[in-house]
Parts: sequence; C-alpha cells; structure tokens
Amino acid sequence: MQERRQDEPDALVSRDLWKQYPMGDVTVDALRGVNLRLPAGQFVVLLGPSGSGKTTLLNLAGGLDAATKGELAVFGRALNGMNEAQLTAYRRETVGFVFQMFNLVPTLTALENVRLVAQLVGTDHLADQAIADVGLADRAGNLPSQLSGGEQQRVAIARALVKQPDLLLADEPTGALDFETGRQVLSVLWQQTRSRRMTVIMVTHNTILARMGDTVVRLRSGQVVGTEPGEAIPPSQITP
Amino acid sequence: MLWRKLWADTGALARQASALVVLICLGVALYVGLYEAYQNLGDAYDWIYETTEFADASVLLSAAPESLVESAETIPHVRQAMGRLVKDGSIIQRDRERKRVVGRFVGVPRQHRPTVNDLWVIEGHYVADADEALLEHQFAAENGYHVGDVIKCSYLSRERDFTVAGLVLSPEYVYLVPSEHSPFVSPGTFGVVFVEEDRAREWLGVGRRITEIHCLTDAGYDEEVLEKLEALARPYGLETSFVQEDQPSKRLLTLDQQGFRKLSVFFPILFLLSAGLSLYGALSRIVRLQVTIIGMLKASGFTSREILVQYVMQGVLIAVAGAVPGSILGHWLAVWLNGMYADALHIPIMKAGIHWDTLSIGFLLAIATGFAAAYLPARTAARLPPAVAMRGEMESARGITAQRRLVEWSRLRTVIYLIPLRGVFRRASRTLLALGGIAGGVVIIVTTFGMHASTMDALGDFLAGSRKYDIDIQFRRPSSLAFARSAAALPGARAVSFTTSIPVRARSSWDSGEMMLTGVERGQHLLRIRSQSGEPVDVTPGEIWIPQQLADRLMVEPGDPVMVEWVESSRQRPLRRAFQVAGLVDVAIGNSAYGEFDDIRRSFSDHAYPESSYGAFFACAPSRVDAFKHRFDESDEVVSVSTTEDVTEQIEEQFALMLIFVGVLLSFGLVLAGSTIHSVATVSILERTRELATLRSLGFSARTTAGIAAAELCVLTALGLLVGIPLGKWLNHLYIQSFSTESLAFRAVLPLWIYVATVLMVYVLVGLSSWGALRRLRSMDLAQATKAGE
Repeated sequence: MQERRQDEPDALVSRDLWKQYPMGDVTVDALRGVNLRLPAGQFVVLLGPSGSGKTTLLNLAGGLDAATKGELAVFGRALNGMNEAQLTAYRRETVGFVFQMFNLVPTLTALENVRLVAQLVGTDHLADQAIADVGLADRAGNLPSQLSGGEQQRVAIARALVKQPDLLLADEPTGALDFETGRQVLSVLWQQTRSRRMTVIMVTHNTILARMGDTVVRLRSGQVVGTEPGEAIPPSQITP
Repeated sequence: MLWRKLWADTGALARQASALVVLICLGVALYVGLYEAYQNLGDAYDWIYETTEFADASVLLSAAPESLVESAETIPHVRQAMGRLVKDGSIIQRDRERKRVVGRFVGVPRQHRPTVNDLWVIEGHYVADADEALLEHQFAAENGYHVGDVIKCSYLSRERDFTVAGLVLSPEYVYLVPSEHSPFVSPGTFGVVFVEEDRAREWLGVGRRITEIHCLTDAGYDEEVLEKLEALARPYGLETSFVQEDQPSKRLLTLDQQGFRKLSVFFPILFLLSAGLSLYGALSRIVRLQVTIIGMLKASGFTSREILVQYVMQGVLIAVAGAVPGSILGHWLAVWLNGMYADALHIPIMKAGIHWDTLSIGFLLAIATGFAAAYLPARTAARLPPAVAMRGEMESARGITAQRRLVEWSRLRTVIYLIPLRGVFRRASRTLLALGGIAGGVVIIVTTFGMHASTMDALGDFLAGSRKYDIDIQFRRPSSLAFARSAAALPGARAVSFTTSIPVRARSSWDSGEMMLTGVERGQHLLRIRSQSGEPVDVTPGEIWIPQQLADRLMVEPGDPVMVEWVESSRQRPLRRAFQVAGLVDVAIGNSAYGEFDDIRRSFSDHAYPESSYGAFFACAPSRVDAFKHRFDESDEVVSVSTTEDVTEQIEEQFALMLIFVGVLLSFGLVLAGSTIHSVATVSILERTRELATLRSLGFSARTTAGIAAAELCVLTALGLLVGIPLGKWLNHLYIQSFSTESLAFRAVLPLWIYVATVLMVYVLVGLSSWGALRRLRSMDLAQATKAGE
C-alpha cells in the first residue's frame, strides 16, 4: 500500500450515523449510530451478514440515500444537507459505482458504456485505455447481452474507473458470479485501484473475499462491531 | 396456488390494471351503446311501420278513377289496397314567423281509419268532421300548432280553413321529407295536412279521382305486386312507384340507421384494438418482471400449459372486469342516444329494450381481446426454458442480432444521445406496441376530427360555398317569374336569377339514376356551380353538369350522351331529351345536376308544370332581406320563401344530431388515445427504472435522465404520428366514403388544422402522461431502483 500525506483528509468519517426505514407501521433501524473513520487510499471491506446495514452504509456514502441523523463526510465534504444538484455533482466528481447486477445500459456497447461516463466527466480520451485495462479491448464493440457476467462486471469496473473517482464503491460485485469468475473480476478491481491509490469500499458477506481488504469493517444489526486490519492478499492468491 | 398468484399479480398491478379495465370498459360501452341504439331505432321504426300498416308497394300517378283501387285489390298477393288523393300547395301562416310554407294535403276517410298507411294520433282525435284536419306532429311542433287551432291551406289560390282535430305520426313522414331529392327539409317549412277526403275532393277540384294507390302485400311479393300496380297505373300517368324499402322517408331513415351501425362497429373496434395493444404491453412487462418466478415455477414442476393458462387468464380477467361495467354503461349510453335521437327527429316513441345478443357479442369481443392480447406474452412465458428463466434472461438470439445491427446502424460521437435513439428500437415487440398504441390514438383523433370536418365541409359547401343569394323563392306558376323580375327593380334589390327544378331519371347505356335537374340562367352568379377541380362553371344549352356519384353510376365521362326523362310527367309517356355531359360538378349535399334554364324549361317544365317547378334566387341588401321575404310571403304567386339564414338554420338542425355523435366519439376517442398513450409512456419509463436510476448514480442529473426518457418517448411519438396519420387519413377516407349516398356525398376532408391539432394533442397527452412518471424519476429511491428488476 502506498503512503499518503498526513494532512490528507480521511476518505470517510461518520459520527452517530442512523438510517431508519418505515416499513408499514414499524420503523426499521438499518444503521444504529455508526461511528467510523476510514483513511484514504485503502481497500476497505464492509463485512456482515444480510441485514447488517453494509449496503445501507455504502448507499449513504455514495449519495444514493440520505441518513436519518448523524454526520457523514467523504474526503472532508459533509454529505448531510446536500441538495439534489450537489449530490449529483458529488456522484459525478467523487464516486464510482460497481453494482452487483452490473447495471450496464443494454443498448450501448461495452466501450460506449464506458464512454458514456467518460464524456460526462471529460475523460473521453481514457475510455479505450479503461476498457483495455480490464482486459476487454477485443470485446469493446459487444453489447452487454453478448458478454458473460464476468465480462459485464469488468465493463462496469472500467466504467467506474474511467471517471478517476476518489472513492469507488462496490456492492457485492461478485454476488452474481461464480467464485472463479468473481476472483478474476476482483483481481482486476484490486490491481486497477491499487495502482491509482484509489479508495475502495467493497461490500461482501463472503469472509474469504474479505481477506483482500486493507481494512475490514464488521457490521451486525446496523452497528459496527469491529474494525480491523485486513490481510491485503491479492484476490488471485485467495483460495476458497 | 397458481390461482392465488393470478389474483395477487392482478391486484399488485392495480393501477395499470384499472387503466386497462377502463379501456376495455369504454370499448364495450361504445359497442353496446351504439349498437343497441341502432337496434332500438330499428325496433321503434319497425313497431311504427307494423302498427300503422305501412304500405309494401305504392304508385303515385297523375289522376285515376277510384275504381282502379278495386283492380289493384285483384292483383295476386295484395292483402289490402287503398287509394287516396294527395296534392301539394301551401300553408298560409300570417300570424306566424314563416308566412307561407309548402303544404302537402292528403285525403283520409272519415268513417274509418286508413286501412293502409294509418295514422297514429299522438294528441287529439281522428277527423270527425269535414272542417277538421290532422296535422303532422313535427310541423305542428315547429310552428306552434295545437289541437283546436285553425290552419289555413291554399291550393291554386283556393284557400280553406281547417280546425286541427289531432296531431299525428304518419309512417310516411317519420323522417319528414317530401321526396328523396330533398333530404334537408326542416319540419318548419314542410307540413302535411290530412283532410277529410270528401272535403279534399271538393276543395282540390279533382272529383272522385285518386293520385296514389298503396297496397299491403303478402310477405316477399312486394316487387311482384309493384310491377303489376305500375302496369295498372301507367295509363293514368304513372309518376313514380316504390316498395316500402324505397319509400323516401324510410330510405333516409335506413341510411341513418346504417350510419349508426357503421359507427357502432368502426369505433369500438378501434377502441378494443387499442385496449388489446395496451393489455399486450402490460402483460409482456409482467412476464419480463416475473421471468425468474416463471423459471422457478417450471423448475418446481408446473407445466407449460399451466403457465400459459395462468397468464392468459390474467388478460381474460381484466377483460371481464371491463366488460361487465362496459355492458351496463353501454346500455345507458344507448338509452341516452336514443333519447337524443328521438328528440332531434321528434319521434314520439322509442324502444329501449335490453338486447342480449348485443350484450353477449360485446362481452365476447372483450374476452377475445383479453385472450388475444394475453396469448403472446403467455406463450413466451410458457416456452421459457427454466434454467434460462431462472437466470432472469429473456433475450432471444434473434433479438440480440437485431440489437447488434442497430448498433452498427447508429453511431454518434456523443454517447448520451445514443440511449434514446437506440432505446426506441431496443426491443421489436416494445417498439411495435408503442407505435401501435400511439398510432391507434392518432387514428381515433384523426378519424373523429375527420368526421366533423367532412360534415362541416359539406355544410359549408352547401351553404356558403355555392349560395350567393339571400332568398330562394318557389313560384306557383311560370308566369310568376314576372313578379320576381318586378321585385328586382325595387330599391335594395341587387339581382334576381330564375331557376327551374324537376326530378328526372338519367340513363346511359349502362345504368340509370335519379337526380334533381336544375336549370339556371347563363352567366348567373347567385348559385355558384363548381367543377371537380373547384373552378366555377357556366351552363350551356344541350349540356348538363352532373355530380360525380351519378357519373360513376352511369359510367359516363364529359362529352358522353345521357338520356334524361321526366318521370313525373303527366303525359302518358315520360318526356325524354338527350343531353351531353358537360362535366362533373362538386356537390356535397343533394343530387343535383345543372343545365341551362331556358333549355330545361322548354324541354320539361313548360310541358306540365307542377307547383314549385319554377323559382328564383334573389339577392338584396342585408338590411332588406326581411322586408323582401315579407313581401314575397304575402304574394299569392309564391308557394314558399326561404332565406339563406332559414336554410342554414334548417340544415344545422339536421346536422346537430351528427355533431352530438361526433362530440361523443371525440370524447371517447380522446379518453382512449389518452389511456393508450399514457400506458405506452408509463411503461416505457417504468420498465427502465433501473437503467435510469443507474444513470443518476453515475452522476447524470435528474433533468438529463428525465430528458433521455422524454426524448425517447418523443421519438416514439413522432414515429407513431408518422404511422398513425397516414393510417388515420386512409381509414377516414374509407369511413367517410361509406356514408356517401347519391344524395349526400361527403368528402374526406382533413384540413391542416386537424394535423396540427392531432400532433399537439398527442404531444400534450404524451407530456401529461409522462409527467407523472418523470416526476417519479426525480424522486426515486436510487438505492432501491438500481437493484430493481428490468
């Protein structure tokens, strides 16, 4: 892991962060007073069983959802109280997403999916390289329906990386893939983010995959139950 | 368990299902409403005709001895024969708005009711005294006559006063027309007075002679009897003859009924087609959303047939839910429409029974629509391999190849523009559905507006387009023309032009057809006659201008000869004269041909002039119209006077009913077009929730994302308009053409405003429909939406 400057702000800081969802007559606490500080440049794994609040935390960090109470800052920018336009700018300039179901635009080719975002942030010149970086230069002209699940997820990673975001958020990126394909996808993700000193927060419930993280944050029932250094093992070396 | 799922799925789609139920309901309501109204009309007319012993065969002749009736009774298959005296004159109404109107005087027996063509006494009593008369009820209502009033009738200057004993409905005048050549006669300007027959003979001065014989025949022998009746009447100046179906009033009523029937089939079919398309779209979406569930069901052991039945039943269920209220609503609509119709035509009775056959057909049509719309998505669901379905995949190899081609075909530097462009064609079934839905809405709007425009065009053409005079005068005799000439010299008068009109039959070597031959003066400008190309034309002796419909029937072209016969000639042989077809005239209403005044007068009118054969068009200063009208009204030379304003009022009254129908259809059409477009707009946005939410997650603003969805919808709408407008134009043409008869030729007119209004309305509907969906896009839960199924 590369060293970062002392005065660089933390990638994510949360204080007494709550997220409540109304469900019929009852209110469900998805996050219950989460306090967290994640340094920049790390590959952070949010680990926990289903319903532990890890995806909720990721969504809050990505500006897809708003906290019920508490404070949340990403690279020193408080997300609480941002209006829609500010959140859109935040998502465009700061965050990259990798979704479990890939979420590619089905009518655009692999390269066009990457260029779509590249043109939005002014990095169109990096699109070809981004698709090549994930090993899909020869499949760039294919539609998502002509790609395998693993290839689609690699396109999604290229799409996230071409923005050169400060923070990359990945929600169960291998959830829809078999272990081997998942490991290949994570290898690409790991290599590309390491080389760019990018902060990554990845959600998983798989303890084996959690070994690749620099830091592992354990959640249970909406609370952080432990933050510990990870093994930082490259995915290619992880065995089931 | 599958049934529980069926109910739950339908319930979960409550909003969309409700919209579909409304569509089906409207389609069924329109069909049941219009068709039942048509049936009710038929029932009412049949009832009137049966109870009044309406004649099966009739001949009208110049004059014959009463003994001819006895000869008629000896014709095989004649059940009953009746002779009577009928003459046209005028009704003088000095204390009423219309001072002098055309009157038809019909002799009826005093001792008993007419054995054929009986009268239905609506108010008062049957004639019991020679000074009493019965008045046709529509005329009485228009001119304010009541039982006990006195009515002044005039025939060849012999005036008689009669006390109105009763107001009656006659089967011969249910639709009040003097002849088939005058389809637009207001009840206010043509009255039928039934006078005690002995008094009629004395007053009309014809002795014991009759001018009409009417017969009841055994079923199916009317034509045969008519032939023999014609042979009997020929020596006495046979003027015209007809079986019941061709009787002018009944014929026009039948045309009206047929119009009703066409309406009741054409528009509901459009409605149900659109409803079917929307249903197909909604069910296709359900299948796509439930693809993994379908996979699970098949993997669990449910057969393809069970899956097929389940999804088909979903469509049928929605159809049934729409058909039940639709049938009830339709029945109410029928009652309402019949009420409007009865009011407009002053029909005192109207049947409003429940027609179970129509209700059943409406119900079956709805179910067939539901079945047909659900079958394809259901078959797709049933045929999905479980392994593929459980992975949530539905795309076929053919679909992927098509998308591949689309990618090659569409390349743009800015990728964001590719999304709406390719989105339009992303899935053939979806594109076709959307195009079909929007095009269907467009067709309904275009045809409904088209009906209105064609009606108004015919009206405008008949009134403003051709009539440049202020007063139309019909004279008692040819010498009255001098009276008009003297009036033209008075202050305020601008011009006078003489005319003569007679009903004739034109023959070619192919066919024959009746028309009203009007003679107008050369160079006159008060009646504008236009060629098919719209150019004003003038008349020349030896030539006649004939309407297109008649030319088509006779299969003649300009320059061809036609033989013209005056069928109402009192001579024993019809008067004949050969003319050359000068050209074809553009006539919207009526079946008029035009020739040169003196030529027509010398050839026909002068030989035996019935009243009203001669007339004049009179133009004057606007401020003097009433004064001149009054002056003409007061003259004994005049049979009837009508101002252009009167005629406009009369025709607008006749058209009012049609405009009500157009209004009803336009309202239904807009609701349908709105529902269809709403369905297309909503589905095209909702089914892409995840894609649009992803774009927002990637940093695209809500406005840009909404813009992408809106742009795609706009392109789809434009394509729908491109398909729908020519289709609507073609259907409108077919539809309007189906209404045209020899005396009423509607042109399929689609002025520019209809196109502009259609485009605007469709885009407004698209805008309104997508507004809600786009608002939901702005406030969508991105965290949830990015995980939503597609």
